[in-house]
Amino acid sequence: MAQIRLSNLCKRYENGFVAVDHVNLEIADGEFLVLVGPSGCGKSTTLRMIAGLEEVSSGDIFVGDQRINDLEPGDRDIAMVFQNYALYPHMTVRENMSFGLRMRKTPKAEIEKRVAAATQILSLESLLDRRPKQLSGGQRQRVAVGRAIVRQPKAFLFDEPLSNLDAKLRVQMRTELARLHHQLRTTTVYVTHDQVEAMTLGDRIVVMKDGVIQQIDTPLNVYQFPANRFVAGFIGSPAMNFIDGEISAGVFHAGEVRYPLPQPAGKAGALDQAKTLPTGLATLGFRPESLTTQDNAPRLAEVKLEVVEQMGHETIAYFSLAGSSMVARLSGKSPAQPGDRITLHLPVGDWHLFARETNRHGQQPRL
Amino acid sequence: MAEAPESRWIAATRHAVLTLFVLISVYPVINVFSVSLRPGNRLRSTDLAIIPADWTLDSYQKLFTEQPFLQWLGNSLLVSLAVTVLGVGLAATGGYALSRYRFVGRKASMLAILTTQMFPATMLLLPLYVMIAYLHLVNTFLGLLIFYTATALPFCLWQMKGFYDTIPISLEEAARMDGCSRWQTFVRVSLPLAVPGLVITALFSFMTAWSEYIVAAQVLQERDMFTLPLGLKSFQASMSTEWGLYAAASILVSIPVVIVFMLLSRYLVSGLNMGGVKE
Amino acid sequence: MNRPSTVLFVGLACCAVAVIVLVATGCSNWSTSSRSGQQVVTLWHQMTVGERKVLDQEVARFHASQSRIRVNTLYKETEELRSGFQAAALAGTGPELIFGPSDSLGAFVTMGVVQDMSPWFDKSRVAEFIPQGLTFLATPKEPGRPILVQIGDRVGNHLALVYNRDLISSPPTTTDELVALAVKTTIDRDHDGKTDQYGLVWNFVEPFFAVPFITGYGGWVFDESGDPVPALDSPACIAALEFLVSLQTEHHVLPANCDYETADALFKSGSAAMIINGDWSWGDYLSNPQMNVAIAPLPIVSATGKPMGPMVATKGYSLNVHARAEESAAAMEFVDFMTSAETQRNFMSKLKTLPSRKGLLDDPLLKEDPTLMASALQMKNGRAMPVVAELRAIWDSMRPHYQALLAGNVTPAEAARLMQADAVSTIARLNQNIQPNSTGLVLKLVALILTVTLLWFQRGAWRQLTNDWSKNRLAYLLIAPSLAVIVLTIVYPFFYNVVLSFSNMSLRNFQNWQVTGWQNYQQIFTEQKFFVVLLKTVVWTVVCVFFHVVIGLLLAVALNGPLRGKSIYRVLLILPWAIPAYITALTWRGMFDYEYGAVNLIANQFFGLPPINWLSDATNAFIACIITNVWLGFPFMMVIALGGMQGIPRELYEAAKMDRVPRWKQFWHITLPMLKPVLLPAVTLGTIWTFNNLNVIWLVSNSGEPSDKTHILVSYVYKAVFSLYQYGYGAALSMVIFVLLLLFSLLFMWRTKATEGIN
Repeated sequence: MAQIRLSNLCKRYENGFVAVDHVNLEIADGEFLVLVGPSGCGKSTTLRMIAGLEEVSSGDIFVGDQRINDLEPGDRDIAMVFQNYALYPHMTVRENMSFGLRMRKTPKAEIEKRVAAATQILSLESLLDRRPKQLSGGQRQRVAVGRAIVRQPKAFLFDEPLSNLDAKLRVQMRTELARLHHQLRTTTVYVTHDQVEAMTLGDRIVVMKDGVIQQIDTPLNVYQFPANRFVAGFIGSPAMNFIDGEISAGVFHAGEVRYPLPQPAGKAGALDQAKTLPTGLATLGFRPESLTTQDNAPRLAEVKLEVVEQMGHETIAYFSLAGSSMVARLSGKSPAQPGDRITLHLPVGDWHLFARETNRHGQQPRL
Repeated sequence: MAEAPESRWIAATRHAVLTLFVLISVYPVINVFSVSLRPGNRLRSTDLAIIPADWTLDSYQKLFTEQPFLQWLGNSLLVSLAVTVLGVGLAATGGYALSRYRFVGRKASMLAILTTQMFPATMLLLPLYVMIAYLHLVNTFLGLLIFYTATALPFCLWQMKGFYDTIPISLEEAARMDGCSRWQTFVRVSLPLAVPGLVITALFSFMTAWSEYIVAAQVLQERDMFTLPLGLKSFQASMSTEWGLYAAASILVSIPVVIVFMLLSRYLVSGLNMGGVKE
Repeated sequence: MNRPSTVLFVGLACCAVAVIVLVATGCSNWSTSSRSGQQVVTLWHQMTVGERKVLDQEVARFHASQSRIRVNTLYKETEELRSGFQAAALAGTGPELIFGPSDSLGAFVTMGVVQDMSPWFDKSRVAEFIPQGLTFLATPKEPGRPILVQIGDRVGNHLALVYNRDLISSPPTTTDELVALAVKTTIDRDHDGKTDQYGLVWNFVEPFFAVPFITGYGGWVFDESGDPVPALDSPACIAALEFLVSLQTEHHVLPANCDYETADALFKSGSAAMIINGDWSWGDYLSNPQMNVAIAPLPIVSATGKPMGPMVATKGYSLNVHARAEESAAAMEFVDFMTSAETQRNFMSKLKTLPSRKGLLDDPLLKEDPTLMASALQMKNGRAMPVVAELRAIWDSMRPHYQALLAGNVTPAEAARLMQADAVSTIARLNQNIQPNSTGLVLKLVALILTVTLLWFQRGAWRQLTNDWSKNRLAYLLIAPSLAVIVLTIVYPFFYNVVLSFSNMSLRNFQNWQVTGWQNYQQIFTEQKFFVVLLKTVVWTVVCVFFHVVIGLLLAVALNGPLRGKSIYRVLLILPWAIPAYITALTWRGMFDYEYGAVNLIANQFFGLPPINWLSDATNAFIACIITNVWLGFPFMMVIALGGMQGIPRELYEAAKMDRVPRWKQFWHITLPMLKPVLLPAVTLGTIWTFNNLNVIWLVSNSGEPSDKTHILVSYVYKAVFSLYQYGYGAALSMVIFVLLLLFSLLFMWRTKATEGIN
């Protein structure tokens, strides 16, 4: 097991496209780190550079104290689980799992022991002599994971491993992976575009966009204190609502919206309001779940509901405000109906302001 | 497909079309067969019967007793198998490089390989012979081996490249993560997965060598070294062809190829891949 | 358990073993080797299967008579012998001896590939042979001193009349009698308008068979000047051609068309009373137990009183110019044996050949044999075949018009005029002697500049290559052997051809050719013929590939999906691909025969259609070639399409069904677009292969028949090179074909992105 460190890692293609742009990252020993971002953000490329499948243009990768840039993938002692599982079709499950060990000339007895252990953890005992073709999607996924863990590598790399599974299996495998990590405590880098996976699995989350790291933090911090508008919009489901408007005299204006911006209580401390709040053009962001119909918070606007989804435990309501579509997440018992006009309130401190030009978060709300 | 009422008609049409073309495919072969059974060197006959009334196996018997047919068969087998092994070996490795690596000169090589098909082969005979003589390969099977391999190789390379293209690259990446070197990845993962493609390549190489006679006529200078097509051609003279022998030998030459095709027809459909199809 | 590494190891081992075995077994070098101190003499001959038996016996006798010399005989078909011998001469090797008719000798002497045999042939022995038996020819270098280039062991190769004694009691002595007899024996038994028995048949394809008529009317192929000047437009010649046509149109004693095989089959089956055929065929007729056959000299032409005289050729041995002294001595010892009285007598008794030794002409064997006597009599009326290279041009010029004449497409006078005009221009072409001009120098300069600039622009590639080497070393190692084989075998001949295409290599400049300039290209583009052939080639390619694809797709659609007996269908449908094309193409030629071909027979018996003149009508012959090629090529496309169809997701069809899209529209909008990536490369390759498909044209239309009108570019090249010795011109034409195909492929790939795989 080991710590992984990326230092100024870059990937430039021959046509000039920069896929990964000066990535600096430290992954602690035993940590579960999730790389998340929209497709094309460079998260997979970063992972593949760690794996050794992609050449590094500049920068360094360290595992422990060893610089592994120039090592062959097989010499890095890292295991990877692929999106399409990449099980060898011409080998049985047992051969698939033991292949890496055989390549390393591990003694037979040892191979058998490790395969047996992994099989037990993943409950694959009955499938050992089958070929990948004869397995279901979930089973293949488990074999792929099993192939990684028998090697007892320094680190696991996961490249969107759950995206080929159906929703139910995905949830099941997700918890299984969490349990597995808890059990093995192996350093793990996990790439996904699914923010639920990111939130539930990661010790820390790295949000990337256009090859650049946007934010590195624990899931909760990324949720609560997004570094910029992109992160704010990417993390959270349904996504955060944004209104473009203007601030003057401590009030946010946008169309019919007039929302007073008092000093957020207890968050930015004693900072002067005039200094912390941006003035002029700004974007107000708030999460669907922050909105409430109770009038003990400042009023945001009166809206007409267009679509209402009753989920039982919650009610998702869609409406338009200041020219954009918005979502509110109300209590499950809400009697709202499409066409209803309701007044929405936004509690103090549950909003985010972003400077319009930079999209950077307008506050320094760290506690 | 059994649910629709139209399906019976469609099935009938399919059978009708297929039967018609099977007849067209098979008839010329049957024609050769019946010539081989006719006594007295009769090529032309108004008799449409497949087995002539006065049929005889004389031609076949003569082939084995009066002509070194078995020797020719042995030579042909030796050359064809060697070409197959060499052709498959080269196409398996070369095609892999073309499919998986972006090396300098790759595009140029691929175009060059394709352009080799564009030059009229007949014009290459003269320089070819001069070269064979220069390399002291006249009357050697090695000379044939090299030229047949070269003839079959362009198609085989394209075909294998196309086949490798359909193998997901992540399998190889997985192998490399599992500790394989590039060579091991090729040998232990890609190659076994390319077997259907290799089978087609083998078939094609074999066919090239099995049915070639123009180059063979240039290279081979001894009757005992003849390959089958060359032996067959020796029954032909401008105005006195031994049609019975020719037809009988034709049938015997064709049988092994047809058997190979039969055994491999399953692979033929899945293994022939000249590019395009990608996962 | 699957052990791929073991498989590969075994494969590599097999490969190694195979190569070693091949090298070991294949190393018997043929030219000079003297294993155990013996001198090996190689003889290329073109004797038929029957003649070969006697040859083998005589060689065995020779081996028994001495132990120093071993003779290795090798059969080569006439054209192969000629082109092979020329190629070998260029490489400075070849067999010590060749055996064949004297008509190739003119060209061989002009090219300088045979040597004078007189140093080994005592002058006193000249008298032992009849005059035609020994061929002396002047060389271009020393016109004043003829050299001995062939020692004949038999004379003949001549035509005579063979008649069926069951139908004709005594042979005709004049052409009037011939006509009368033929008319009498031409019978339509069932009165269906179709003749069941013909009076007379012969080969309507080869003009060799027209020569006796021409001589009978007092003509000859060359004029009497002694130089090879064609005289085909003479009144005698026209009269002879008129007589030929009258047999067909006036007396109706000939079939509508008739090649060698048909004539032979008609006569053998008793459906023809008389046949004009050569001495090589008589044995077959005489020994046929079901027939009662006799040979008679060709009749006297009633109009002129002259006998019909066939061409008479000597067959014999010639010595390779590259044979060294001791090889020549050994070879000549063998020639002495083979031309000895005893050997000639053996051939005479077994094969009814006429000897070249005077002494044997009075041999009782000859005197008592009616066939040999008839043959000898016929030969007396014959005229010796001129031993000049130009004779080939005569045949090539006569052939198309002779065929057209008997197909009823030209009048005798017109045919004679065309034969003469063609012969004059062909001989001019044959003797073409291109001199180097300034363009030669320009070309050399251009080539130099091109090479230098190319190297200059590629200098970056070298650096790149050295950089890339460390990264992609395996790739280079994997591809290197393949590229090496291709470069070795294709690139060298290719550049050889490029040089040749700018050279004057031809009959007159065979071994001493030089780069002369772009005259060959000029010639190609100024001739109308090239564009006509090109157009035909395009039609041929487009039609063939179109039907390959259409039939392939049709069958693939029919085969795709569950079907009873699918695998049987599939195997049977692949047959045309599986069986070597040189067999099936010849079979198709047989099937297109007018009289006996299965196509006409089936069309007639099952559908009542009138027979079609497949092979003697230019358009029909071209269609026949196309049909054959379509038959040969559709399985490949079928397999490609079938493979592609397996990759099309079923959901697409199900979705279409839901949308009530009719089946043919499903095919048009789903199947075809989805197959595109698989079909396009196949179509590209198929087009190239079809464009360059020599085999089918050559075998089905018998090298361009009728009248050289079925040529596509490759067969046209082949003909130019091998019948007119125009190596430079042929090379230039090949380059043109190559560039055309290259342009087509690049354009096609660019337009359709057929080979996205490249990128």
